[in-house]
Amino acid sequence: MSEVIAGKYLSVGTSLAIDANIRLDGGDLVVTDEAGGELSRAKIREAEISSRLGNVPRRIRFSDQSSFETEANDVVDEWFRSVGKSKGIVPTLEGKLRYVLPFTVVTILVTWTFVAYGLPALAGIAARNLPQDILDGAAESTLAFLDEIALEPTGLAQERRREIESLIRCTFPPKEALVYEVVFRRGDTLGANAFALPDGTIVFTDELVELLTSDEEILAVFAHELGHVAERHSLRQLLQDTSIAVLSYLVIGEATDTLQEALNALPAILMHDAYSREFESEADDYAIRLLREADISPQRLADALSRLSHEHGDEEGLKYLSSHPSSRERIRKAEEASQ
Amino acid sequence: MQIYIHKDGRKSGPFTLEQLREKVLQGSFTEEDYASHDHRTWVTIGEVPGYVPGIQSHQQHSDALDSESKGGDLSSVGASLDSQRKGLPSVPSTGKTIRNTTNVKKSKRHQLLFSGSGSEFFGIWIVNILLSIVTFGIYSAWAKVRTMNYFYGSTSLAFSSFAYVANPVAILKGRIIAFVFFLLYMLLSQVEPLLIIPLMLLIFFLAPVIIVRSLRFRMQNTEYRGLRFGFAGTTGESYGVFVGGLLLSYITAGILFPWFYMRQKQFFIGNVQFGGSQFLCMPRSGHFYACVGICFAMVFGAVLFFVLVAFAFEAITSVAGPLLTTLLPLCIYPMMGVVSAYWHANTTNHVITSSRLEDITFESRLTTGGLVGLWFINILLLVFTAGLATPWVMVRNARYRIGCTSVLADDLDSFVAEKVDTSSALGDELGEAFDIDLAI
Repeated sequence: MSEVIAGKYLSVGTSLAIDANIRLDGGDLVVTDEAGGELSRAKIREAEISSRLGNVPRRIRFSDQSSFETEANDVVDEWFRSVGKSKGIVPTLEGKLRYVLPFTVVTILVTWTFVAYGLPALAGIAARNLPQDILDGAAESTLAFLDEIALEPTGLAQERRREIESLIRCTFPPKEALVYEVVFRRGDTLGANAFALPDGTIVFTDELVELLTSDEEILAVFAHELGHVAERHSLRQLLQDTSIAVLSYLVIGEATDTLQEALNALPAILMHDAYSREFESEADDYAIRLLREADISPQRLADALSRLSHEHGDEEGLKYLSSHPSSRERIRKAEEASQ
Repeated sequence: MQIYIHKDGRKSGPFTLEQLREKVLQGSFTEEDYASHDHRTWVTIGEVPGYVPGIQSHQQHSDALDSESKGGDLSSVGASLDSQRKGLPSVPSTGKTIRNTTNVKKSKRHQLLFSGSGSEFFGIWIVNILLSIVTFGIYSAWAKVRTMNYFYGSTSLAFSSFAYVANPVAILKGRIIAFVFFLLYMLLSQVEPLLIIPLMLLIFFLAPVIIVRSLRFRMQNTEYRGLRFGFAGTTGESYGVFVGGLLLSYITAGILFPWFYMRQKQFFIGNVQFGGSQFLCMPRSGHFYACVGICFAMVFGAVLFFVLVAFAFEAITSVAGPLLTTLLPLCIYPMMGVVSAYWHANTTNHVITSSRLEDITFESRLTTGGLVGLWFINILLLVFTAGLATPWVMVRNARYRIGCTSVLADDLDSFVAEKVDTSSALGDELGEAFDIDLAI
């Protein structure tokens, strides 16, 4: 004869909850009211039990849809185990510190590994397999937008522009898989700057051309920007930022109530800079490789970088530079490569 | 013996019986506040075995105590409670119970209780996350059901808890659709930014359908005492409220926005069904306009205060610039917090107290200070643990909100299930595809 446990008998079709007791009698679950009268009798094999969740009350559901609610979790688990219905692995994992602690450590490690290595790798694979022209529309509208708010038409002499363009085309002939177009604009508030759009448009500002003293430095900056295009950094950044946003929503989204929703964006903002620093150093590596192939010393990249960092100042709040790895580190890497 | 007290979402204690009696006499607690020896089984203070009511006690509970105030052992609380529940039929007369609406008995105040704990939920949460990761998100649907069930199951009203009985496969389908849609949206917005506008319009015009379907899914899978909830809102009404209301408030330059907000809440709550009964939600739009007025006054007052301080500072030191430019932005976020806490507490309280289910009424006691404190600590917890405190934050939110709600009812037993309507099976299929949580 097994234990008798107290709970509520929930009848079918009404909100009536009757104080009742339940016991296991042979293979039958017997529900009795306070006076001992039998309310229900059903085979335990045919009854269903709600999954265990901490100490949340359990529901035993009978085949006639009536149910029994009780807080005696352990007794109920024992009964159902005796007929081969164990509570399952998940509730065991959730309820024991010896599983929860390692799970926490593993989750933190897995998350960190995924964010630092897995996601960039996956985004890289996705970027290589997505159509080449997927971001062309975005590139066009980005340039149009920048022309609208920041950039002005170039003031460079046409001969100078032709000279630079033909120099670039001679040194780094466009390949079928990597088409590029060089464009000049006056940087105005952006100052000496260069940037690449995902469709292969590479923009030089007049200020940059004037700042760099040798053509080889211009070639070095171009090679760096071409690196962004070749490695499809825009698309990868987009994929990575989006994934982080989704991930942080999945993890903390349920906890952020009303005003705290702003916190959901925090991880994506923090990771955006970390990822773009990685892309900058990848583009540097690409430039160093390209320069070597063209028999130009990577020292020219170091020169261009130090001129740029001198021009903007390391503390300059300019987005272009602030997202780059510390300039000194980048310059050192390029210098080492030139030896 | 240690007794803990649960009042307005906060736990205090432990107290001895004698201290408890003093607190009640002092007015810190009433005999209708809840007491427990183990944080799990809760009874009103008046029902604690061994508790001797003070002179000020005015509630009807005192009569129930006479019979069994000898024990003094709180572990017998459950048993003593059971014997209190008199007047219930001893045999369930299935489906035959008829609601006695002419009952003149005074309503009893039932405090909604939340008994979950952050540390207990942490185990569930971390297992959910790890399993979701290793199954590439597939387990997240099961995780959702477990999470919902933990919070529903930890919430009890009159010693019965709630249950969430959704099929995880339905949620998984919804999540896959939402994920694909989201990916398409993200890619499209980058590839062809112009396509965003028709896409946004599409979402705008589909939203009322999705809202109704997801509310129906949520409610139909919520159970209390073996009886399902339901949602009666129609797609047409949803279009009227969300599309019509939004357009109207734009056309009137926001003047109708408080009304629009009120209509949303009314739509969410007034369409909830429990068994065959439906909630009635009758908030007054005047209350929402008054709240908006006070919110504006708070913002205006705060800005005025800052400007005055800055002027005064300038008069003394002749440098006002830094004060205004550095201090004001720093204060905007906390100020927004206070204003939105005020708005949230007052509108929520009003909506809940102006709702009823048959002759059951509701009470909500959220306060601006309570919400500000809750949110402030939550933000600190989340930021300083890099998100690991999420389970505690979720439990804190639930405990505060649920602890501030009570139900005034003399009879919770006589709700009867409605006949199950199977004609809308196809529609529900679509509804199940979108499992979207809406804050009500």
